[in-house]
Amino acid sequence: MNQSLLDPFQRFELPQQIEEVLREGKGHAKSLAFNRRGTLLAVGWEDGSLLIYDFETRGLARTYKPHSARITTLAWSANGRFLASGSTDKSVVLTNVELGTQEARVLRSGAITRISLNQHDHYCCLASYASGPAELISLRDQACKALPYITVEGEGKHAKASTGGTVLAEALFDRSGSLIFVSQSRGTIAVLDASTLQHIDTIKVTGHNRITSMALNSKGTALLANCSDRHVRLYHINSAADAQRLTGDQLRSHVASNKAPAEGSLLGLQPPILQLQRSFDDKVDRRTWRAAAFTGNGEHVGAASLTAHEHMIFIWDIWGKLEAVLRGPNESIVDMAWHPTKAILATISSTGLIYLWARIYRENWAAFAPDFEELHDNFEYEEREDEFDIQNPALEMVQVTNRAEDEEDVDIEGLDEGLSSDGEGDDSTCLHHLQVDIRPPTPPPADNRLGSGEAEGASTAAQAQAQAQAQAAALVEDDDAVLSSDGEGSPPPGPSSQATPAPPLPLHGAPGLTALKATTPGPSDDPGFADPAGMPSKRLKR
Amino acid sequence: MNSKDALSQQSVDPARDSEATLANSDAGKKSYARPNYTLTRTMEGHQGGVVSVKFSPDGKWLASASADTTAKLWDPHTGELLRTFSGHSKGLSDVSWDPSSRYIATASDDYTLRIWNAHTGQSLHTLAGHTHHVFCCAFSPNGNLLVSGSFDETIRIWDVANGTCIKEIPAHSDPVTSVDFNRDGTLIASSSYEGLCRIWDTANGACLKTIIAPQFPPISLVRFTPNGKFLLTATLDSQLKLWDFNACESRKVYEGHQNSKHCCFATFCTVDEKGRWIVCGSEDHSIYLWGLNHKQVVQRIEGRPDASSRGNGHFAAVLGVSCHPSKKMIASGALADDCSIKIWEDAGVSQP
Repeated sequence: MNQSLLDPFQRFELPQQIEEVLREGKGHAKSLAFNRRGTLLAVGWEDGSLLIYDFETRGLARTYKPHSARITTLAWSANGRFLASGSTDKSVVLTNVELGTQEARVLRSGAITRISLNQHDHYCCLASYASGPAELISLRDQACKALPYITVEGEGKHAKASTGGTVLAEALFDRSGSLIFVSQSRGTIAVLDASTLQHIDTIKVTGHNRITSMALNSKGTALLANCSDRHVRLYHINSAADAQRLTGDQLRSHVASNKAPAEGSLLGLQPPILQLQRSFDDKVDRRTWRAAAFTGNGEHVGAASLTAHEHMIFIWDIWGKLEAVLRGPNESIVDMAWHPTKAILATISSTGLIYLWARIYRENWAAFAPDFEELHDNFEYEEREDEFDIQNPALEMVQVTNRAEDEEDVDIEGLDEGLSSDGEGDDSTCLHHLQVDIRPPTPPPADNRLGSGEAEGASTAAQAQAQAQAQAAALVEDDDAVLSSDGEGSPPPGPSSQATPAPPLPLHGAPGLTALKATTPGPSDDPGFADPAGMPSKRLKR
Repeated sequence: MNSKDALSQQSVDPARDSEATLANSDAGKKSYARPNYTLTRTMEGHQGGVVSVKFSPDGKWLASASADTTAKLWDPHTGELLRTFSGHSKGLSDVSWDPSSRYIATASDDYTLRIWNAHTGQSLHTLAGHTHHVFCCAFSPNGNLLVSGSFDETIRIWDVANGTCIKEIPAHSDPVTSVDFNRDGTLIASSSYEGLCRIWDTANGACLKTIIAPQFPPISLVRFTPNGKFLLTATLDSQLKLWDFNACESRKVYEGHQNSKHCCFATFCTVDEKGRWIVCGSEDHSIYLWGLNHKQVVQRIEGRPDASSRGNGHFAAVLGVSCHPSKKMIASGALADDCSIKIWEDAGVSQP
């Protein structure tokens, strides 16, 4: 809803520097994904835990542990309520983001490298493996179907198609969920019908280089293929509605009876479902790419370098012009994701940290005073004839009042704009935010009593337990609690309330709330005030 | 606050009588649909003036903040006092509900804010950082952020989950009187004694717009309309204005009440089938309701000059007003010596 006030040209200016680093303990982040509106960021960790950050506060909102080993890939459902994760522990798990419950868990025979969820049915998922063909998995009934694949050897008349045993790199649903793109090791992208798994088309990429990863733009109109020949290729996706569906045998016989082109549609469809538009590469150092992705508005393409010990992201506009190169610390990139609505890029480095890249913040001073205009260059000002004449301020007033008397009705309730980043209407079933559950604070008296710094960590567990007890007690003894808090809450909480012995909470059993009540008003909580009881002021650090 | 009083007093028009406005529109050519709010109950318990009352978003509870350093939780349907939140060392200026109706935040003159569990009374976070009285606070619609405005002329954005300050914005050059989030939490509006109202981008704290009322009367309140398209401001020259903030144009002016000294709250009532009302407290001890579009006073909930006078209205300036989210119910709180909270409900039959 703030769109009307934002500068349309500044909104998608490219990121320039690392604005913030997210880290969590000693863990290593391995994969990440934004939800559709960019309000939540899911991060998969080396140890199989799944962390969800509230991207508005950049604070940790939820911690789950769906896997026992590294989470390699994450995918949000369209409604934002579910998160599919694939791991080297060979399982695919669908997690309920809000509750943390496991909606589904499917164990496969290989480590999972990529998950793609059908945007219309989050129980329908594509899993790609480190080796072996990708599979279509129904998380509802655990049914798995291997995707058919075709290898095309040779060119022209000598082309041969076979179902030979090569590995597949990656499978991806299109936005509508009706097509599947399968990148194959021998330089082809197969387009399959998602419901029947029949072949629609197969696109040959120049040369026989491997396609290591693919990405769609947010509208689903373009596909990026990251090829091992150091090029990132951009394909326009044409409608496949009229195209014929072929079985594997039909496709083979078609290849056998026709000339196979060196590149482009194997079936010679016009226009081909995937139409090559452009390719991006680093012409100087000829880098290979870890990953490539479209920005949220689809107008730029970012590619992360695969080279070890460098953190470089190249950004081109979709017309092929190199716009920016981001350089981070000397650490390789593990994964990257663009924020869907803002010019923010998140990358994971080999040290396990998450870097958030954003634009260097520039204040728009003109916004502070509406009658001022920001100048970027000096120029000679020519004053208006009457500019410095003394005017009657009453005249100005009249003008304003006239406008205020405008009889046009205003509507203070109606809404007319969607918030969705991808143009698809959001219904009320979508989840964009997680409810905040405030963890009760660590009670100061326990800290104080133990006195020494090293007890802090040890007391945390006990305190958490005490908090739980206190809360339970508070629920049971609700009325008592009110009374006692009324009695003790009389201001100001001077030395008297501080002087009352405040034993550590665990000893305090039932009237947990009372204990908290008595302790929280202590001056130690208000650093603005002197501590009359002469308590060590160590606790004031925050 | 007092230094501003002289300035604002000048701009109050003595000829403008609220009674006259009411009578005029009664006798006028056009008659407007009117609500008929009558007293349901009076809730007493605060030892100091009540400065802010807020219905919880689910409509079940009413929170009040008082100069007596406490906040209280009431059942507005029975009048029962459910809980007292004590812990602040100085008087409160504002209270705000989180959207899930589980937590409240209080802003105090002791330079801190506190977040409380509304239903256990536990103090969950003390938000310290402001260097002067904290005057206003508001939760974001997602409940993850809290914004506060202070006499130290800054607004601060806090992370509700862990109680840390995310951002401090040197927003104004005079005390900040009011802060509000828009409907989806992407914008923050703030108002100040200096006579400016500014709109900020929540995501990066950038100033997006400044609205200047002519002649710079101190702005005491700013609120986004429920759809987030307009801003309602209250100025200490006894005016409420509805702004189209994109065009920086004032669209409606509401007058008739008296507000030159305190920061009276104003709010929107959108549940009445008879019309949309703007509801505002007044220093003449009454509560005023205007029709949103025709700008006429549709009801004046009469106050009393003092406690011994006839009637059942407040007998001190009414600062806090709040409209129930789904029922035709208004809560109001008055300053000392009244110190009471009153619940008003629409009796349905129009006034004679």
